[in-house]
Amino acid sequence: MKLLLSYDFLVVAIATMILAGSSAIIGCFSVYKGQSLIGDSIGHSAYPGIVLAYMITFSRDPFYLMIGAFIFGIIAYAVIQFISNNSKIDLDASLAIVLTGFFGLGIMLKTYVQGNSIYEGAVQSGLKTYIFGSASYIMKSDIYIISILSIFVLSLCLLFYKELVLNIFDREFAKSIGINNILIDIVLLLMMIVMISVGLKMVGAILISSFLVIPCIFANQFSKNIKNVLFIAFLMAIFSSFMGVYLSVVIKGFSTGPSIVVVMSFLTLLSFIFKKLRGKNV
Amino acid sequence: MFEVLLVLVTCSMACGILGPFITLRKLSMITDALSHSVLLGIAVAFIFVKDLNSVLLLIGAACFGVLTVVFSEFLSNYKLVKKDDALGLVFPLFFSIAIIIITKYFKNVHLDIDMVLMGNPLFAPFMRVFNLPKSLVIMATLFLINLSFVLIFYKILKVSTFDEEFSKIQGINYQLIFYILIILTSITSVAAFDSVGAILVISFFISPSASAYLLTKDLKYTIILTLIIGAINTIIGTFIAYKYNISISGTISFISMINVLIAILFNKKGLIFKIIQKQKNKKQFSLDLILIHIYRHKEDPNELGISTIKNHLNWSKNKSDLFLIELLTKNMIYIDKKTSIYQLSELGKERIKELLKL
Amino acid sequence: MRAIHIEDLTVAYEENPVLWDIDLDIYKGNITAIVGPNGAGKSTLLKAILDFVKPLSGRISIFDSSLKKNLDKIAYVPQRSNVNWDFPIKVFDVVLMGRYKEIGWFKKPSKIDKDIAFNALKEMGLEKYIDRQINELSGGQKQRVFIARALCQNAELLIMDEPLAGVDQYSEKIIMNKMKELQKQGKTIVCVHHDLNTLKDYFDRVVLINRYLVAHDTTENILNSNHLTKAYQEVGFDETAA
Repeated sequence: MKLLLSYDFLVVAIATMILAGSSAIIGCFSVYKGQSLIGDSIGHSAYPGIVLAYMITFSRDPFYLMIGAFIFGIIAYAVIQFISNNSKIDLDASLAIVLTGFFGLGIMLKTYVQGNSIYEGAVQSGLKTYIFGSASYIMKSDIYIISILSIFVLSLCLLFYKELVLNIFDREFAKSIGINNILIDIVLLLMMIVMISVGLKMVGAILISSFLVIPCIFANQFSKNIKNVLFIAFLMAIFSSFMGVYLSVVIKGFSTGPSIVVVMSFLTLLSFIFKKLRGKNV
Repeated sequence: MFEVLLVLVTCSMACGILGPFITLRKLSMITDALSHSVLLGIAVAFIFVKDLNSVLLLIGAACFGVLTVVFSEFLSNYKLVKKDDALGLVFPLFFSIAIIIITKYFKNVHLDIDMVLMGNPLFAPFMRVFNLPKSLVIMATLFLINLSFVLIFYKILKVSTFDEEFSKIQGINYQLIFYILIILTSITSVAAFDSVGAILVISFFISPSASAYLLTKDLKYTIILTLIIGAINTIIGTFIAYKYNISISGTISFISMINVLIAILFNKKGLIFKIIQKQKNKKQFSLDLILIHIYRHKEDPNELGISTIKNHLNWSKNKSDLFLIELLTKNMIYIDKKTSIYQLSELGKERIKELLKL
Repeated sequence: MRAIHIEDLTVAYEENPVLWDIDLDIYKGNITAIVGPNGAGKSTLLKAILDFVKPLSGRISIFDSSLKKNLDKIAYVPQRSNVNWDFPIKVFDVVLMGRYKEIGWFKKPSKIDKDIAFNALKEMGLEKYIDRQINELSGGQKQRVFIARALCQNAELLIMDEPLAGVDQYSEKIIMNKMKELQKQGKTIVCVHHDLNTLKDYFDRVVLINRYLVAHDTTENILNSNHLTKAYQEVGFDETAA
């Protein structure tokens, strides 16, 4: 109980919950748009942005690093589209190609930084946390960034709710009543990349996509109505991240990101069983 | 350095020989999932054997590789989730558990998470059997196993890759071949892990075969080309990495992506060719369009008038002048002096006949 | 009076011409079918009318003015295959989408919008299903939901892509009766249609295309002419059609 009220725990828990909640909402839209694997690819590909931002600014200020990740997320998306639109390579393979190519670039840059005397003075130990994420490195400034951007993204979602739903459900009809499909696509994509960039430090490049995908899968087992799906996914993400952070604090050696993902997946597996059971009763 | 390079090239070939089948069957992201989730197999096996060099680790990893696929297929077959989403659920779960086990229980073992992702090829020559790097021996063996799989099942693989439905009708055991492919992919990824890391393993499987696929149509040549391209990428990447003292695996992955992008731009039917072709077609198309317009509106002074034709096509004056002049110089149309309208010449009429037969 | 006026329209996708030099007037207060073999460019013609694709040449006017000015007078029912059926959305919410244009950006539907949507559903005989997930309905029911959504738009011009494809007899009756009723109110209806046997029952006029305009006439005249066989057998056009 004492732990639950400690400042450090609260800070990390609140930030993680805000992040997970808003990622879940954006994630639902992305999943229905069939972009669940794109999130994984972009998550990995944003990593070189972090290292490059560090190389340019000589600082580990989370804001600069986030901007770097954001820019590389967009570039990665553009390259994915370029490959799958302009060649016979299908989307699946282009995701894998971009994922490995960009992540490889990130590691190249990281090893370059480590071996280079210019960067000896600057602290560089934090770069690795962006691969696996680490909530214990979270500082106050991180919390501000996470909260402000998450709330910004959430409000965009609410504001564009009608248009997002329409655009994903029935693109052609949306176009026929004058909705700019491409604009909505871009808004959704940018929101997804923002959430990925914001979450990298806490969850890491490899697992961030599960924050987008798993809550939606969970919520899908309970409702077939988008509003309820969003709400359930939101609650589930918040609950899982609280549990995950708690576990990672209580049990030494449990990393935060993986703990949250384990809780989320576990709940989702339970939800399958729940659905099967309910299916039999009805 | 020569030995490091040898290990890497062998790795690229062991993966590359299976690559085209994975890429063409749209299993690329399954490789991504596999290469992450086999980590759990390694971690679990390690708990029991406490030896990083044991073959049991390979077996454990292969089991979890297959388990990932079986589990995702199970979820999507039961319509609980879509196929992509199933993968997105299963592999983060396995990977997360693996990370938790590793960070919690094997703090000081060589099984470092960083190692898992990027490997360290430089260490490869230190472990030796028969006076050769151990990983070289393992990867060469796997290359031979994979090669014989491909050779033995070549026909079946070819048919089931391009036409799943057809192979089902023919009674080819699609599932069996699929699972053998998955098992070999898992074992190869795990074996390659140690030297090159998870990310480069995915890259070895997918990128060279994608480049090769762009350059040739024939499956046989695609496989051979995949091996060659994989080797070239590896050699270039290794040299660059040595020169700047950076991660070899990272550099090869990056070079492989660049290679794909170059292949897209410059292959015989590549993007640049297509853009040029498109411009040509568009021009030809606009010329034909004018001919057809004249043909359809024969004698109509309004539709075909020298100054009014552009309004009907809704083109700018520059655009219509450009094409009309070209048609005039090619002698496909002429201007009827009396009525000042455009008319088809004999050449133009021939082109119309050609167009309408199509 | 013409609802749609098309002049010298040519459309190409990528490098391939789809529609060549189409001249066509669609008259107000008619139910017009667009008919032609597969790949004839029927859907493309609709898309060009709705400005989804950029034509290479020619112009289109709607109610003798531009499309942009008439956007709120048009209701479009897309082909069902282009819809993301996995999306979790209730029947009622789908129909409510017909009001989105009216409601505008960022705002929520009002009570009036909801009443309109409910009435439209009722007219399609679907009031029992308002809380169902859209994918739980049959093909014919789904199509009726889409028609209900179009009714909510209160449009002058209805453009529908294959509204009767894969639709049961019962739904077909409901849909076409409603179309007749709308026609009496002076609305204009344009459908891409695939079933030549039902042309006579449902449509006043037929536009026959096969990359070129083959013929445009009353249903009776089309059925009595040899245009149909021509359109379905060969590519190309006859001068008399121009």
